[in-house]
Amino acid sequence: MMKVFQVLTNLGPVVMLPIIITLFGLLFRLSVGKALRAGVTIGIGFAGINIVIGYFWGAIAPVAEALVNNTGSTLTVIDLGWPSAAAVAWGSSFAPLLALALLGVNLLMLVLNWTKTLNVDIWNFWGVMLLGQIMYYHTQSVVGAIVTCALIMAMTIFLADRSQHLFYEYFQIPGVTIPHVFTQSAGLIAYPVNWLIDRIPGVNKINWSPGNLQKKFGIMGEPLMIGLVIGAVLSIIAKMPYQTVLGTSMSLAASMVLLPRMVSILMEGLVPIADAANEFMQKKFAGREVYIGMDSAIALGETANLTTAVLLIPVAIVLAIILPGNKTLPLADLPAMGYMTIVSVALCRGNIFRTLIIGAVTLCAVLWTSTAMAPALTELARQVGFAIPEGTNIITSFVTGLYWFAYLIQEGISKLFLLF
Amino acid sequence: MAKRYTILCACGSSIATSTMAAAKLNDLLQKNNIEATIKKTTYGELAKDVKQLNPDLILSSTNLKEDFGVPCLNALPYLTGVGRAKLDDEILAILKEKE
Repeated sequence: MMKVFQVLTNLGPVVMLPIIITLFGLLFRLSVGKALRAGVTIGIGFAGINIVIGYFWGAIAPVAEALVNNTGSTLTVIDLGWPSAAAVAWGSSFAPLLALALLGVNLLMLVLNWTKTLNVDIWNFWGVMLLGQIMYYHTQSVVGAIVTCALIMAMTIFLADRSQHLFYEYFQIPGVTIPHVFTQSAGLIAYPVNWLIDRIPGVNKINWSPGNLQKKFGIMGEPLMIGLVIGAVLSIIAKMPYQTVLGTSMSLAASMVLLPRMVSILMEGLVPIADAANEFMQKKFAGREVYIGMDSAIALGETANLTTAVLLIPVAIVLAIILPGNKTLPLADLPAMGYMTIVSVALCRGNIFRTLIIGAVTLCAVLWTSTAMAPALTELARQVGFAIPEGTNIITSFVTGLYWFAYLIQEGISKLFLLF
Repeated sequence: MAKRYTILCACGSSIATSTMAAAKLNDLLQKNNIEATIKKTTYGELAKDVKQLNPDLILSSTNLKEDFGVPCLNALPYLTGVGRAKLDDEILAILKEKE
């Protein structure tokens, strides 16, 4: 079994992915033509991601190094963004195996009546799969990776069931739950912090509405603007010559816009397979009342959420600098902070005073976790062929640090496995 | 010549759900021989894109509370697979009106 993975991995993901995804598609009864097209599309997406990451890295690595050397900054871990982390997860040779295990866990939970959630959000399996791969990196155990994935998925589905009414009441989305690790992990922080705020006299009365803040600051939340501004600011602080300042500013803006485009090509390839899996699962449970598990994007567009996400950008940068133990330099994921605030927006009914406080607390967990995952993530990224030279800085995905509880589960299980 | 429509598909990062919605939309348009430019975008960039592209329809993965002065449908049926035919009809009706 491991021999097969090894041979496939040695081909490199751009060749390996089309092969295994085509087979995966055939397993879900896609026609040969459709399966092949899906597989090749995913390979193309992956090639695109590789190219953009190489470009991004070329622009940011020298600046990040100068930052450390010229200013005494300790932020040595570069944030390559969650889309890159997703590509790492889907680019691994045993991604389909883990994906099947995750579908299996959900099926089992439904059969045993432990849940009402039918999770068809195949794309977001990446987060759970990534933790499985980190587990594999730590222990070299495929069984360990599957156990880790299964536990995290089960817990996420459990939390999704519990938060169904919350999303329904606030966002008015019927019949769905959000078994999204990002969202549910953020919830685990949002509930207690909100509970605490409720009990602080005076503070519990403060209510800020987003008003037209989003219109005023919305432009600052655009990937293009974030890239331009952050690129310039970082290279100025790093005392680079003006040519480098302009160059970095432009390259970072380009990367911020291009990277999601490339990942969306990968997603295009995944659509037919996700559809087939969806159909397969729904047929199995036809006639039974289930909630469909969905991506949190279905709740993300809320004004209070967009506003909080933009206002949290400077908070994230300041926290990254002052938080003891943090080494992550938030970059590519700065436009993606909306994912960490959905639960708090629903919980606090759009009161952005509270969503900002909860967001700041969440950011601490995010920064620590993204720092902790960095060595494993860097190695996994190298294995799928990302252009990250040995011996230079290491990478992480800042927003993936939101997986703090999943990461802790992984740490626990990997310690157990290493004992025996 | 038939009109060429512009349709925006919006979601959180213009990566996952907007791509799913755009794929189903593309199937529908091809089946009905309708020509359209489909652009994927994010919620945060939607206002800017509406201003620049003057779209005929917005297909959004979330309930949009803001009114952009453009017909707007929720893409959820394309994501869950439940109620897909009804959404197909709604889209065709809106495009027909704009002809």
